Amino acid sequence: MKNKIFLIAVFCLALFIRIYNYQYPPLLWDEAALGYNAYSLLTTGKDEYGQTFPLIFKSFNDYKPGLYVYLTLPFVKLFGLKELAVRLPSILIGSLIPIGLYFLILAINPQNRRLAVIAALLVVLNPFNIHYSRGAWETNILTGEMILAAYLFLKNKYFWSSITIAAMLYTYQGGKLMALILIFILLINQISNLTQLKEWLYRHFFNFIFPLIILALPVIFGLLFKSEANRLRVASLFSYPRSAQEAQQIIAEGGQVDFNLFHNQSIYFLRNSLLRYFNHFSPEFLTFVGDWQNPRHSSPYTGVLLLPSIIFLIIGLLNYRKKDLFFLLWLLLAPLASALTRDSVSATRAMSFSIPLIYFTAAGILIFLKRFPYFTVYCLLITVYLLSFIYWADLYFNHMTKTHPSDWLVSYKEAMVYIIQKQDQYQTVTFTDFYGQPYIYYLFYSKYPPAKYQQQAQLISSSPDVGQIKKIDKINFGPANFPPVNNSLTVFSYDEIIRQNLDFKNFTRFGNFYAYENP
Amino acid sequence: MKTHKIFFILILAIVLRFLFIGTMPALNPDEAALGYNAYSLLKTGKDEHGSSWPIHFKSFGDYKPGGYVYLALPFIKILGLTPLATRLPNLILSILTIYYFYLLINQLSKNDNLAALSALILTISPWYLHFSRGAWEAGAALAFTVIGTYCFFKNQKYLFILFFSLSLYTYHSARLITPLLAIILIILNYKIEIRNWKKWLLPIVFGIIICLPVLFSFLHQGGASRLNGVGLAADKGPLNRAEELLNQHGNTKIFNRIIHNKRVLYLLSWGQKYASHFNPNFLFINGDEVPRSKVPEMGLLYLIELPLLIYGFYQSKKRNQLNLLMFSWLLIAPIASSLTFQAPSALRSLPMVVPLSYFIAVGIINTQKVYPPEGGRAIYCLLIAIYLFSFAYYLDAYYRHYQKRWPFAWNYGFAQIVPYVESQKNQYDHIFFTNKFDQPYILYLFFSQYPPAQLQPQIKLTPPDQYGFSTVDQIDNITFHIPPEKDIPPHSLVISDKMLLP
Repeated sequence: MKNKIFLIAVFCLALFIRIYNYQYPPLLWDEAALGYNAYSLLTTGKDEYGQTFPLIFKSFNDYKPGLYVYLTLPFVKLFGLKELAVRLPSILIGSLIPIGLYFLILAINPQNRRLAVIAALLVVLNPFNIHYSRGAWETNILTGEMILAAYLFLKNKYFWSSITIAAMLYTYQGGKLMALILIFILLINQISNLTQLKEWLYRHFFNFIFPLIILALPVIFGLLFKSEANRLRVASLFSYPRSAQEAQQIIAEGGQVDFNLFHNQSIYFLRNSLLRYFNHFSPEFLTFVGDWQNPRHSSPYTGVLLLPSIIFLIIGLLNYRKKDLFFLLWLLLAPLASALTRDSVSATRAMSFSIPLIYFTAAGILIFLKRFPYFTVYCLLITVYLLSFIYWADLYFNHMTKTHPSDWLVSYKEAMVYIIQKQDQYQTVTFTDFYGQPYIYYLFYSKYPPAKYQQQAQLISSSPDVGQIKKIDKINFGPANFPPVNNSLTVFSYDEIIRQNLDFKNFTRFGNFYAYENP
Repeated sequence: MKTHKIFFILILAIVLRFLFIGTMPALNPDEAALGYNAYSLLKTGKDEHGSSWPIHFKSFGDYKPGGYVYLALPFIKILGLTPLATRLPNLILSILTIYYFYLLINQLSKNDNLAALSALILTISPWYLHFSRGAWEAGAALAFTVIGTYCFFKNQKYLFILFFSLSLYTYHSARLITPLLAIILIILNYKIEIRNWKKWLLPIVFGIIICLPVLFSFLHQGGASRLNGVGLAADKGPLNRAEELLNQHGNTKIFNRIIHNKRVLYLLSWGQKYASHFNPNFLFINGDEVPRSKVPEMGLLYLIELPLLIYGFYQSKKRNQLNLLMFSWLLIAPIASSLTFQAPSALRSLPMVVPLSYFIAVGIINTQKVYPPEGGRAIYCLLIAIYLFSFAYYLDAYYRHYQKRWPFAWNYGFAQIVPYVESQKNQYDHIFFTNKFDQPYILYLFFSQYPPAQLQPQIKLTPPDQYGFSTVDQIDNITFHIPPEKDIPPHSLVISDKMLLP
């Protein structure tokens, strides 16, 4: 009974923190795309490009795995095409993750109730988890699925575990690698030698391996023969070898033999992937800076953990015991998904990393409290954590989008609502594409009829990366130039106005955007 | 057998430290300043700026602690003003460090293998090797610290205090780290020492007396200004950030003022700098950001040492004196470095290399426990192979790539250009020397063996830059910057780097 009350309280607290002020931060492109595709499926049974119930959505040419869109369907049905509807799956799963982790820790070691309680509370307050639970981030769903799959596996519900693992493949790009890692960790945790492995594989072929393979077939097929492979190539670190110029310099310094021996491609890639891997363990990432590669991935001037956590994390890791093996492996392998990509660090790709981090932080806190079991220490600890949480919350709610307004795509909504109101009064409407993918916001906020859009969806892609939509009806999405043609409405970005030396007085401002009406 | 191991390690240490030491790397301005001031003292009894036997040398306005200059005196007396003579004190002290590190570990662990292995790891450590080869005050200060610590455990209180005090005379950072280490040593031996507190009275009085001069000198000149230049407060980042964050609120409610207080942000900035010394990328992949403190494409330690280090940590959890000493040493070593503007700094946190070498050695010693006995042997063979490769990689980076990649880092070429300038000096009215590389004047003085008596009346420092460094612009007819082309009078010789040639 006490248990249930605790878990319900944890869920409610987590839900409150995650749903509070749900329109903040502003909707990102990917979130708008997920929402609009769900809307398109609901109204026409097809995605924005006219594909009938696809597993993978083409979207901006980034081929999003589709599970999130399907999770959004009921909420879009219920609430309509709104921010809340798009974000609710992530908010709900993000609020369930603390409970999931609680049960997972108990499944591994039923004696660990205190550890499970601390870990659950930490997840509720942890910036890493809150950040990704407050937006429609597929990676948050992936983390939830990993916990669920591991729990089911440990409870011997192999069939359901394999279904969950298969779902990971359709959730997020990084899910394929994470699924392999998870299976590896789970097997290591249960099996100590090869004969056991063979036996296990025989015994669980039909309730674990077979369903997994069947469900994974489309993904494997797509990876081998279709364009998803392209996405992998763009992101992979191994597509970016040492530049010829740099290689020439090294050969000039030391000669060809020296280059082949000490500066060859494998050593170059080893150094570079380790650099990325270690970045995820750096104090900067964990505590002081956060994801420095992309301001959209964390709050400014603070890390992915709360400040005191780094001390307890180290205490927890130093006191590693055999029964922590499952989480230790998770800790060591989770950053792989982002260490092998071109970004120097990525909180998004490594999000499931938050779970072992929290586990060892909780272990550290437990050891600390066992060493100092005094009431004042408890109070002090709670105070320090609460202060640190308030500090983070202030940075998140009051500073994040203000520090990086263009990265956070501030005021796309206001500007779009404005042109949607005014579009009938003008012959031509131009909206700047300076901040990327304006069309999806137009579709989203105007609730553009998907059936009508599917016929004119023309994605133009110049690079192997994402593509652009240039035109919907009379609305152009492209660079905004001055002076515009007669009888037109043009929305400029801040930078375009600066670059063209224009006077801000003549424009109506919407955050980053400036509208100009030429009657 | 017991003496043999450390004997071979010391031979290796000597070879590694003396190999091409005269020219590799080229003399850098700080080394030249130390050497030239010693030369100046020998010739005139005054430093380059005319102060008699100072404790802090004004040098570039950075008030270098004088210990190293005095150490270099006898060598420069005997060998003359050469790079080797300037570097010899640190070379010899680094070998002593290795020996006393061996003795220290041996004394505390009673395990000769562990002690020898620790010394070996320290000997070939890229971090320590780098700062052994050159006149680095940090290396000399570390030597005194290690020797002093050994004396402490040998119960030689006067020597312990003498050596720790010497390190205060030698390097700025040591002034924070050495006293902290002394406190740690006392705390570790609290139970024994508290009973013998009477025996400590005289040594402590002795310590206070020999530290007084450096304390006064530090307060009166120099030291404090150096702190302003490179200290944490010199970094305006947190201050600006506090303003930025407050502005974003658009109001100055008391709550916002508290959480965006500049003290909070400076504290966080300090925490970040302190923790950055333990960043695996700093230690194992990229090393320091300053080209003079690293070799290209390499960390401060070998990559293979990371797993060994972690394993070593786990194997050192027993609370004995040695482990506690090493853990606390590791934790206090970056403190001085984290209080400065530029962190992480391999130079200022050099004392870290001692406990790190110990833990790596513990890790290696314990690998045989993993799968005994064949597994242990196989792991050893593998380790030796990887170590050899890493070591070759390091030597290659140091001797072949380093000076070609970043010749500016060590001011290559001054040894060649200065004799030429000297030979031409009387044929031109004006000589203009590029100031693209820092402090050209001191290298000119060093390599031309300029008579200090002639220099002292005319030397004039420029106003300090934002980090508190000054330089000298004019010596005789040589000007150490290149004016615009139209301002160059006739009969001038211009020494430029190739980028500036018209």
